[in-house]
Amino acid sequence: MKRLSFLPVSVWLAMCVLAPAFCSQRAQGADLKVQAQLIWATNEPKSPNPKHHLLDEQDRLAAKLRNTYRWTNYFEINKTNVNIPVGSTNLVAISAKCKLEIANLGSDKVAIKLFGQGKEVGTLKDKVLAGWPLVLAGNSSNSNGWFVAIRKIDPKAADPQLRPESINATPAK
Amino acid sequence: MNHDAQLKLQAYRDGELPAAEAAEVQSWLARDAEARSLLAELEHTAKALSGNEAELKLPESREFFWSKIEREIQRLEQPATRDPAREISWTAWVRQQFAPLAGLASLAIVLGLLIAHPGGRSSVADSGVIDLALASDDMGAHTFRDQDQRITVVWLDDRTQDSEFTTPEPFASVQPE
Repeated sequence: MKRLSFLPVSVWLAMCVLAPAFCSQRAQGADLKVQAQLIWATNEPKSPNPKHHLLDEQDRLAAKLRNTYRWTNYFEINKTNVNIPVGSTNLVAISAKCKLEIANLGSDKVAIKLFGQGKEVGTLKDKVLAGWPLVLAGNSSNSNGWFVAIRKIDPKAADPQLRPESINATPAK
Repeated sequence: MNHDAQLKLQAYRDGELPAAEAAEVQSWLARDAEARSLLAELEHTAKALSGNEAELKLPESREFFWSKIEREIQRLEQPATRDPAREISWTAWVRQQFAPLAGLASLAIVLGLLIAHPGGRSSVADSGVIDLALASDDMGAHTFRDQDQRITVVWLDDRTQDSEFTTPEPFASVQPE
């Protein structure tokens, strides 16, 4: 115990006070890496577009949606990874008629502005955290549904698509 | 006979006088019976002491005996050298004893919070408020957070039933080209 007393109380207190502040500052000032994913929900076994990728049981987001909604099949229409510096806004064209404006407000908080057919639908401000998707959704024709999921890219993510090295990956078509 | 004369006689008996003074004492002894009597007394006393003095034998070696004395002297001197340290104030004592513990405990709490809630996960789970602004009054929305599924969903409704989300071709609105 004597060995530890070489640091004066003021140093210990400074460390205790500054450690959370340092971590917070680091999170506040870091770039935000997110993945935007457009999903079509249906009970149809196949998508009219063969390029759409059926999300299987292994897909965590699809599993969460299956547990929450009545639809049985979830097709990935598009997926884009973006890196957004603090204070910056990135425009993500997730489909020809659906666009997102994602602003990094710092401390993992984002402002997501949704555009449908060129018109602004609304703006959502919330935190986007690893393993906790932020989803915008609505009804589609023929009792189908659409989902736009914003997920934080995390180095520890089990899904390789949600790791930072996937930032420069070509968006899925 | 005065005291100096007695001491001189004793010095003569012990062989400590130079030859000239020793010769003077011899001539003095030849003349003075009292001096001879004192010298005889001194001789007797010296013989008695040398013949009957008890010899003290140490139970340990000489080096060990002196090393014990040295250690004892050091032990007795030590409190005197440590006294200034003992005179520290009670605040200094508290700081010395509890500062490391307090520092460790604080660090443990901070690390625990960081590990338990990386990235402030609890702030999303705990705050039920979602900041949502819709562009049109014809649009409605309801939101929910599923703590078990760990998902936040904002469901958008078009009350006019006329939006790109509910028209007969809604899927085309989000379908890529």
